Amino acid sequence: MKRDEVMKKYLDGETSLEEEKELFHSTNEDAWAEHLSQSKKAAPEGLEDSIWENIQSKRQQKQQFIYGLTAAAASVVMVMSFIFFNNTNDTEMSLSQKEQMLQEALSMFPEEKPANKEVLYSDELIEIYVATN
Amino acid sequence: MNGTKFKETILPLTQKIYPMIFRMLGDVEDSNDAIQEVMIKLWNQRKKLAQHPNITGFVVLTARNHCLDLLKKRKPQMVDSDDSINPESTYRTNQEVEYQELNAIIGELLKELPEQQREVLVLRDLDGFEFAEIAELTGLTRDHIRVVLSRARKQISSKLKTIYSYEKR
Repeated sequence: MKRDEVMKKYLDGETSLEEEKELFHSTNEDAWAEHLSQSKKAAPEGLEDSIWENIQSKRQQKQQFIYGLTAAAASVVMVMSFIFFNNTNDTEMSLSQKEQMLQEALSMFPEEKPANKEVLYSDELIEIYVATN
Repeated sequence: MNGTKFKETILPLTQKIYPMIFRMLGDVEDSNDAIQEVMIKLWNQRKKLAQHPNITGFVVLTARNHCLDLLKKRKPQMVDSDDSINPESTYRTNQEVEYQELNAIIGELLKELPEQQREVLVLRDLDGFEFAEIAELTGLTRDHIRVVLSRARKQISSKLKTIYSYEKR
């Protein structure tokens, strides 16, 4: 395609980026082409690598922060569990202690049934009475 | 999107968005910093990015918005009014002076264009974006972009022809 035809296509907004590149690359007598070539700034060499290294470094920092946070949380859980476990042992009674307390409670009641009693309530399981002398 | 996929698909877009970032910020160091920040932003959004229907468009849009934020935060810079008597300025080559003159003329011509035409022309001809990417940035349809671009190119071409005998045949 001749340059004039491509230029017409360009002015109509119908050229591809590749065609536009070729169109302006092929001339140094065009003010617009000169302006475009002077104004465009390509990315410096090695910029992508530097960006990637930066991302990796931030990623590692984040991972280290998460590990640190997890370790701190685990420590808190451990300390809390330890405290809770110790407190539970202090308050919970052993079987023998429970039996002793039951015996103590039973000892408060007379062993023999009173001779005179007034039954207030009675069913298959319990009997509530008032002892009268 | 995992690290390898990000490295293969997103990182190479650095080449594509760099001209726009440099044009907007006008400084190599600022542009390099900005592109690092943009890529880290994209890395943090990589899960969302993987499902985007127009990944390149999204990357371009993120970069442009980031530059606009930076420009908003930027303090106004002092203009050196003694530049004309700066000894260094007297050592400019003819080519540099010609380029500066051309740059100033084109700057004025671009200012004369309606905003939409200027934006589309700059995105296509200076930044080198595809129509799909320009559509993502501007919200215009491809056909509309083509029409706007054609008007802008014809106007610039006509004015440059008058000034520089543009399109010597």
